[in-house]
Amino acid sequence: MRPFDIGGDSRPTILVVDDDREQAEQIGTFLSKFGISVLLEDNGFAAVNTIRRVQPAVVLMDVRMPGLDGIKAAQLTSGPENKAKIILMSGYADQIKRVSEEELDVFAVVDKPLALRVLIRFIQAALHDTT
Amino acid sequence: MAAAFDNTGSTGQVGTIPANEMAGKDDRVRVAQLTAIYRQGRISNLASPVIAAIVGYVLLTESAAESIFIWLALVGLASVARGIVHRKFGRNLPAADTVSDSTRRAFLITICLSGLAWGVGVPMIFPVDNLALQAFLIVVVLGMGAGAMASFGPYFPALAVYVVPLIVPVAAILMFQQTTTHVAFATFGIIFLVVLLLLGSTGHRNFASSVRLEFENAYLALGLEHAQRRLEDAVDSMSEAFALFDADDRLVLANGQLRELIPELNRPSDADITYREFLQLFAQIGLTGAAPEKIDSWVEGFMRRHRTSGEPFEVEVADGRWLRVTERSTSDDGVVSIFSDLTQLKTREAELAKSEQRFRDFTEAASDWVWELDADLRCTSVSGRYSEITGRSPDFLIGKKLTDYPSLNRDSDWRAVADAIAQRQPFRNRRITRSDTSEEPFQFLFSGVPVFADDGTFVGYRGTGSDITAIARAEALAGEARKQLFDAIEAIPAGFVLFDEYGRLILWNSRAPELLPAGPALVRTGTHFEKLVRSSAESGNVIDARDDVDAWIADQMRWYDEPETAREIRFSDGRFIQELGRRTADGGVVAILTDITDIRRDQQELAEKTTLLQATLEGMGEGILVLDRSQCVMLANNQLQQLFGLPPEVTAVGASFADITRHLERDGGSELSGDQGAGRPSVSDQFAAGKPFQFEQMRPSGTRLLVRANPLEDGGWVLLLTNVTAERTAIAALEESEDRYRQLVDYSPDLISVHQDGRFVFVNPAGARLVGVSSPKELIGRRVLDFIHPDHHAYLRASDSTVLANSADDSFFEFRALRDDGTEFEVEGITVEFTYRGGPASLSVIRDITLRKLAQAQLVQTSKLATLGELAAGITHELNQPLNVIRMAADSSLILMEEGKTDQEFERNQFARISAQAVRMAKIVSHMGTFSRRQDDDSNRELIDPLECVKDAISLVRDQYAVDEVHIDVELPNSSSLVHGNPVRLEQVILNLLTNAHDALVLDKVDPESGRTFKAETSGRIQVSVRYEEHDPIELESPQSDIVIRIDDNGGGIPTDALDRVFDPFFTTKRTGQGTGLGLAIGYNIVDGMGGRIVASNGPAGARFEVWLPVANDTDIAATIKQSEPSGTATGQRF
Repeated sequence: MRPFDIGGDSRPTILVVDDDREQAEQIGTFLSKFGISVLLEDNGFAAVNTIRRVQPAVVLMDVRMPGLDGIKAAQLTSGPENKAKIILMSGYADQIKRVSEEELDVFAVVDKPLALRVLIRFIQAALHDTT
Repeated sequence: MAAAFDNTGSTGQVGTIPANEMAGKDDRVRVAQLTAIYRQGRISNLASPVIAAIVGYVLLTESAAESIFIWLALVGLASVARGIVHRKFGRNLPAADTVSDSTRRAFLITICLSGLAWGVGVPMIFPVDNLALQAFLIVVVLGMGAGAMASFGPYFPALAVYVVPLIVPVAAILMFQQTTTHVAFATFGIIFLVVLLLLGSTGHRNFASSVRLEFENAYLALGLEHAQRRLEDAVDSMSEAFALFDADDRLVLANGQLRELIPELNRPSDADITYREFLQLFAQIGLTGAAPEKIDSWVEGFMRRHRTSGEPFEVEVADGRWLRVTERSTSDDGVVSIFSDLTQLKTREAELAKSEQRFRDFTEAASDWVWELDADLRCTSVSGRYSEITGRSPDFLIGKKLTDYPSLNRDSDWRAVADAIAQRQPFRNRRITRSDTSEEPFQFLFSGVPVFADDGTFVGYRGTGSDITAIARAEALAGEARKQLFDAIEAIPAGFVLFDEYGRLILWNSRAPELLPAGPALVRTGTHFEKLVRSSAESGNVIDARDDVDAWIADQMRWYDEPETAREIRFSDGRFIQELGRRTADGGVVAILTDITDIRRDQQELAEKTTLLQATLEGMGEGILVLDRSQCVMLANNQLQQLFGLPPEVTAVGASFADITRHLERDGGSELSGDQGAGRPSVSDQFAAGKPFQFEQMRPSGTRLLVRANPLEDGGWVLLLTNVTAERTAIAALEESEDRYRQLVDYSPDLISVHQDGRFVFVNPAGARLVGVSSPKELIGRRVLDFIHPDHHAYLRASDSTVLANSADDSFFEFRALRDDGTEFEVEGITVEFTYRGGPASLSVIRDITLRKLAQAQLVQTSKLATLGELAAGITHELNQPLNVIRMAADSSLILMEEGKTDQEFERNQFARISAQAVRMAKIVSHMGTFSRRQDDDSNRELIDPLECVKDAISLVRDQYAVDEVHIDVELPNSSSLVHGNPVRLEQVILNLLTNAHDALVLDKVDPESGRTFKAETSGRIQVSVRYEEHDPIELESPQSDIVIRIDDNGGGIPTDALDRVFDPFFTTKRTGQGTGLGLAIGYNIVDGMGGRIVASNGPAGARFEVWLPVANDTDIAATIKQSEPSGTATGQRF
């Protein structure tokens, strides 16, 4: 598998959630280049709605958001009916709110600023994780 | 007795009949005779016509009928006349004692007429021719005569008047017949008549005699009855009991006294009582309860005396009475027994005997000796006791004349005796004092009477003498005693009154009259107590008697019966008199009347004082116990009971102190027993010592009692018990406090000094160190002014004599002080006036604040850094966002370039994005630079737009707060005004206020009670508004307005007690590490520097802070414009 072959031929769907649209678009633009179907949301409520409706393979979600934050949204979609692997993106200021991954039942938590390469590896791992 | 009378009719023997009883005896005899013929005559009167009818019928054949009828009519008329007389007589008969002469005459006439009718009729109807009928007629006539004899026999005149007219005509007719037969008949008739008259006369006498005898008999019986009755009355009226027994010893008569004596005699069968039975009855009465044998022997003794002698004998009956029994034989061999009750007599005899003995004893005792003088007045005899009493021989007197004792002539009584003797007069009880010897004067009573012979010649004197030396002495003593008694009674300050056994006033002293309400008039011998009382009651002088006079009198009479109970009499003039008495041995009453007005008044006063004292004692906080000499309670108040928890009876008056002690020991405390084992002498020892003492004791309850004991003059004690628990605690606390304060002063790092008249009188060691001297002593007496920088003298109102704080309140003030070597240092202090050792003084506390000033400056800097740090956190986030975008843009470009998936358009977009993000970051950094510029530069007071500062501050935190769910609402006016100030510092203030609001909404809150933290439940909302406030132009010289920036949150507000302190440095309600406590303090200073102010309060939902800034007026703006240098470049617009 090539390092940047993210979705392969299966064209998986990935949801990107961030209240800062600049960042969301940046990630979405990048992922779409690899044939991945990318959905964008800028708040937690819409994100939960999309996850339940679309059942994306992977969700990239900012922790710090007005309204429903990333952690709460992850908790709301952590049931067995949702197959999406959630990767939370956490900034330095959010460290105080940081919760252990085990408790959160998320696939991973990554720190901002994001190294795209690292992010891609997490996405690849999530796509191939069958558990 | 019948022998006293005989049939001859003699009446002279009836001597016992009263004369009046026998008067009219002849009348009564005549009545009896007439009665007899009246009773018999009624039949003969009826028989007469009947016989006449028969005769007429027989002769009807021979004689002329007319004659017969006439005759019959005559006979009938005669009978009718007789009948009328009879009837009249018979009617009067029952009460007839006498018969009137007219009646008797009528009686006789009618009888005569009856006889005459028959006698006249015979010639009329005489059958001349028929001899047989003649004989028949004669026989009838003679038969009539014989019948008349029967009818009229008792009364001769009646017989005579009847038979004579009856027979004489018949005899005459027969004589006229002149035949022998007829003459013989006639003669026979005459003889018959004579015989009849003779017999009638005798019958008349006999009847009269028998009637008279009958009367006399009746009178005699009556007389006997009278005599008997009189005898019985006489017997009954005897004082002695009387019994008459006949010859057979049977009781014939007993009088009432005897029947009283022996009630058994009233039995009907007493007729058969014998003398022995009588005695037995008598004995049973007299010897009640005695044995039968004794009764028998007594009866036998009595029987022996019975009929033995004529002498009366005396018998003592068992009940103590004496009876004299006198028996006398009667003429018919009976016995009269008289029982006289001698009991009284016996008693009298005994009394008499006693009296005689007494008299003898008395006369002997009354006089000591008896003397006699002869006609020459020489002493002839003197009884033996003379020498016995006087110790002199009788020869001293015998043969001497009384005048031989000249020494006695000095005695007036002796002269009186001599005079009496000279006049032959008796003298009695002359008191003679003989003092011819050297011994005690011999006193004797001398009495004598002259003795005269029967013919009146004087034969001498006889008399007695009695030694009364002792009596005289006793009398003298008694007189003295009596005088003393009177003096004593008189000396009594009270009224003294003595009543005798009959309640009569007999003795009183001079004080009594004025104390008796009755007034002095009634105070005289013999006035009865009741009269005194009644007069008192009615006088109106007695208050108690005014309402009910009788009740008061009754009460007084009760008092008289029991005078030992005191009574009080209230006089209307206000006096109180107490009457108190005693019954004397002879039944009288002694009364003492005391004027107790003063006592009453004193008592009342005492009662008032006592009440006052009691109230005072009860009102005192101390327990009081007053003991008398015998250590018994005289007084105790309630506090004593409360302090000791004693029941009231233990401290009752009269209770023993020992009981109290015992009670306390039982209670667990032994406060007053004294046996404390603490070396203190026991209370009883202290009592014995008699000196005041005091000690303190701890009650089991922890109460401390101070017991103070003081002796009383009479040996009693006063114990004062004070609860000193609080006092002792207070003293201990005070000592502790003083100690603490002394230490505080001694070890205080601050200068503490006392100065009077501007000079130190006390300085603590720290003070000495502060001004650089080695010992506080070096400062004593030095001028305070020397240690204060001259610049501050005026400010501190310091002078040579005094140093006072400038400010009126007690707040600290800062100034520069001088050390001993003249160097300056910064201090703050406070000075208060107070009194020290009696004079006005000032107390100063001075603190070196050099170090604190430094520390404060450092803290301000630190606070700024902290604010900066807080900002940094926000800024980091702000910078992170564009930085993240930049990195991702760069990374994606690199990756896609490596993959060959880029194109020119994509890369151009990426670069544009990176550039935009760089611009964004530059803005942030630019603001940072503005904020971090030197802020304490006063020179940059420029005209600024506060709205811009508000906007800037909000934009800096809005996004950041939104992440925490804190939203900021902004309400700004359209127009803006300028204020003087530094925009960065104003922004810093607003930022600080927003931060506080944010923190109040976001940070954990601390529950002040439990200490736990919790989060606000409502969603955070900060409201920022700006408005303008116009000042009142009247108060200020020129119109001025303020711009007011208000920041509200809904975080619950500031605790009220914290409102005053929020601007104090280092005050914070935030948790440790979350705030420095300097933000608001700095903000306050900033705004203050801008001429404005910050006001903290609580709004509707949370804290409200308002920043008031004065709006710059036009003059200021114009001046600023003039100062500003014109520049061609565009003014730097902050982001």
